[in-house]
Amino acid sequence: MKNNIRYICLILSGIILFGFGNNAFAFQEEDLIAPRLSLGYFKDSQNGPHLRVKARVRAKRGYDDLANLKVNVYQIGEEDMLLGDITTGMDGVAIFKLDEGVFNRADSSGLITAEIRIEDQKGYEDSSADVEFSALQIEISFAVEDSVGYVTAKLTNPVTGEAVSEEDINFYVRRSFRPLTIGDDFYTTDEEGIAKVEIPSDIPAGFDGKLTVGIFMDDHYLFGTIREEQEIEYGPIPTLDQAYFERTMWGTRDKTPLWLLIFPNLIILGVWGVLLYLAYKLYIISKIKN
Amino acid sequence: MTEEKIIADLEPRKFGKLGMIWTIVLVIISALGIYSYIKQFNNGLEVTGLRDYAFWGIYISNFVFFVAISLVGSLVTAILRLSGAKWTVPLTRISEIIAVASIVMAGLTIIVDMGRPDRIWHLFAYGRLQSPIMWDVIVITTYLVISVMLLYYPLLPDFAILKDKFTGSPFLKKWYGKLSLNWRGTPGQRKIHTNAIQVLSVMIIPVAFGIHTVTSWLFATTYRPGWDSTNFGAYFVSGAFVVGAGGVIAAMYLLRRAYKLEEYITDDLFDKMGKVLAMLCLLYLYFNINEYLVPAYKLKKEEEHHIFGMLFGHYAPIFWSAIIGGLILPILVVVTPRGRKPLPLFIISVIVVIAAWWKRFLIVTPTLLHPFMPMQGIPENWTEYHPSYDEWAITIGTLAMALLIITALVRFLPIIPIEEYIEHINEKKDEK
Amino acid sequence: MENNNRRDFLKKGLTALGAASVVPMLDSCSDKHSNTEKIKVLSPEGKVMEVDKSSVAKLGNFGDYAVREGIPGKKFVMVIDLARCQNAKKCVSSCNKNHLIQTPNEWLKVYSMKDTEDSAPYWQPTTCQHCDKPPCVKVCPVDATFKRQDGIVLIDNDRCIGCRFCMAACPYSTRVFNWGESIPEIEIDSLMMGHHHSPETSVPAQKGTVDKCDFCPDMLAKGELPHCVTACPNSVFYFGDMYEDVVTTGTETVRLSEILEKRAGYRLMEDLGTNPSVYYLPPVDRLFEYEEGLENYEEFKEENAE
Repeated sequence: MKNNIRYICLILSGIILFGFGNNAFAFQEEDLIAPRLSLGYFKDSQNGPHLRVKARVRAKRGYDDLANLKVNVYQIGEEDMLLGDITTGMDGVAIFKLDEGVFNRADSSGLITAEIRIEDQKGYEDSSADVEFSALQIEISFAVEDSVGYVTAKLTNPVTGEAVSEEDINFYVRRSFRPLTIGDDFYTTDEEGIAKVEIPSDIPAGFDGKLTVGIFMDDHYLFGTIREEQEIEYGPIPTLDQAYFERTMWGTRDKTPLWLLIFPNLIILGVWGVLLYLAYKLYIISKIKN
Repeated sequence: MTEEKIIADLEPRKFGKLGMIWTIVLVIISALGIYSYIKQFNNGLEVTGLRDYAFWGIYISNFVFFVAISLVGSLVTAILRLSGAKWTVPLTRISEIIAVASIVMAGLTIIVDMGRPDRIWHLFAYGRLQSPIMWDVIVITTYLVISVMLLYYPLLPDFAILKDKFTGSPFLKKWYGKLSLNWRGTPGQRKIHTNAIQVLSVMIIPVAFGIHTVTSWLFATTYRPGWDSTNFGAYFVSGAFVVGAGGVIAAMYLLRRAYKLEEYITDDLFDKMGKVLAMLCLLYLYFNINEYLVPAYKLKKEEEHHIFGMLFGHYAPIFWSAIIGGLILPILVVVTPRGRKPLPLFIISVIVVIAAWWKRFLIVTPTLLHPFMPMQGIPENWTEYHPSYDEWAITIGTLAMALLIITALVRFLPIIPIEEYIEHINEKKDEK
Repeated sequence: MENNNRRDFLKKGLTALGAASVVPMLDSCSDKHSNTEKIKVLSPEGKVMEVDKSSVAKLGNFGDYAVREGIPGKKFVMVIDLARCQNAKKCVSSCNKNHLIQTPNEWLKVYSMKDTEDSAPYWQPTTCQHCDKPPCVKVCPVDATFKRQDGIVLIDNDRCIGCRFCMAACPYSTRVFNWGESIPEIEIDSLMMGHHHSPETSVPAQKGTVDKCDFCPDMLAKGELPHCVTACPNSVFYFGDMYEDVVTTGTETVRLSEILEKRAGYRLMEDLGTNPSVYYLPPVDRLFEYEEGLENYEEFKEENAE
């Protein structure tokens, strides 16, 4: 009897083990997703210096964005250091803000290496992507010379203190949807790392009199994609069209022109006053004695 | 004629067989219209032949028609009366009845045309005075109230007479008594009464001009060729008087036949109304010439399509029928004394009313089918306008309902003001 | 100045009152739970004002704003370059897709135009012109269509009574009417993904009310361009803010004043005095032959074509 029970237990555990093992095996073989990762270094006024992760997955036609993927972010050096983890959003993009410590750990030439890794994520193959970049210091200054405004950009390597010369940068003013390039598409920095451009005097500032000028470097092999912006006081202030706030024929009912409120209402009151009076007179007729 | 005879002749009478058939037919047509309207209410304006270019159709032209014909109330009871034409006395009641019935139906017709009739209260909750539609709402409500009062005030003495002398059902007699508001004809009552009618008669004239002028502005305030006209107010008002006069003549004739009122609605009355009609037709013709000749002379590009479509094109058959039937023919026939005899005048009046309805169709539809931008990328049948069955059923239903309201009022009210008529006869005797 | 302030105060008071009275009624109609929470928004003069939360769109780039009032300090403008249009109709399909429009109720149409007998035909994409003196708004009896301070003319389909006077008043034939129920209700529920109707999206279409191009204010509020602008493969549409004097196709960003001057921009039916916010650049030095667009051109189509 006891033997029998032992046998049954053995067989059952065998089935269970075999079954599980088999399942796990099938999962690994068929269902593991191999995401395509890309990583870049960015800097802008909204997020500061940051890494931008884009995860995609091969689909029937082209690629689909891969949402909800968790990746670990490392800084590579003598010892790899885990900086944290991030998860991609609906568009497959995740942004990892970099703090000062990352830049303090740069090597003597200012070079930083970052890597993202998918590690032990259920359903995903382990994979990684890395990027090498260097911080770039952009100083924007604005000056008016002979009543013409100039924006000057000075590029230096913050670690070595050397001027960054022979680099192409784009000058722009910030606008609602897309920035507007000022001057030529690109200006090359000189040996002092300086480029200078005139701001057309007729570019309107905001209603507060402020204009946001910026420097843009697009997908540089070393400095990444960088936007550095600065608010200056320059440019004509546009005049706000007051039509919306005035009483016009095109206004809403709380902005009906006064004459259109007064005269029709006077007529309406006058006519309906008489009508009500005449209705009241009907009552008088029914009550009158003689 | 003695007072007793006049009262006996003019008191409301039960319908005969023909009257019953007439009423039943109207009820059936109205019911079919209501049935179609329920369908439209549930499914939306999809059930009509209206689409994005011809987005206004026979509902709107029907609305304009109703507003137009309602002007007869002010014409007969106010304008002619104030100008001292005492002979209109037998016509005042019937023209006020036509005015009330058609202005009520005008209001209902505009609701029929709305895409969201369930939101009619928005007009009052969110009304915006910049819009001519608001002006129309205000002025039509006002006109309705004035018309009802102008119908009711002169009825007071008649109700009092009927309270005593009505020979029909005691139930009605009791109601006449209640509605007479203790009218005893005392000097005090008479003073209020005369003044009130005088004030209402004066007031109704600008309001009547107002309703139809504002209605014309619904079109004239847009940029569209055929509507963009400074002539439109006068053109509409003069046309309205023509159809109103036509309507009242037709009603006169039918009532005279039905109730044997030859002594009251005399041949002379037809003769006079015929002259009025001729005069109004000439006036309307003048505004028509203005309306078509000036743009046809200039031939602005957009106007050209519109005008030529009307004069020689797609709409020419309707246009010329309406112009000849509604204007030229009445003028030619009515200028001769024989044309002003009751029967020919009746026939002419019916033609005038029908032509007037189609004239309003021509005011609305052709313009919409000549927009400034090209008509492309739409189903081909959207470039034309063919009212659907339901649309016709509803439109004819509203016309039947207007007639039904008139019929009901004719059945229960004295169609010729009894007391006023007695006074009128007495005055005549005195003059002799 | 003092006078101005007082007027402003009155104005805001009235607007707030208006908003407060509208919302409960709309709610009772649509059976949505009422939300009377107040929210502070910035008026264009930089003053803080309180409006009902439900009348405020909670979207990004330009901060919170009242949907009926528009984005303060903006004045949107479109420039359509006729020299680049080949009637690819990507604008139309993108617009239809994003606003759940079924043909032939398109808000955006590409017309085949020919100005005179001897001049060459060309393609003209035609949106709502968002006039500064909009004849449609003038005639609306119930404030269902209104002009916002950012220049956009919108329709509140919960307010519209379906009188179609605005369609009569518009000389550009841009307004369409929802004659019947175009999309089944169940389908709408899934397409809307829990969003409620707002004048900001004009979606879904409501039976018995008027619709038209709305310049995609929901996209603008996020700092993104309208759908037609981004969908166009030939960069026909420029869009921007008039106060900033810049318009962009998304890839090309130019000064508005410059492009209008250089390319002799014009507006449709200038003589009517409607002051449209849409400019056209004449079809000169064209990128495409007119004939290339003919394959997408149907003068007429089936009533319920997909």
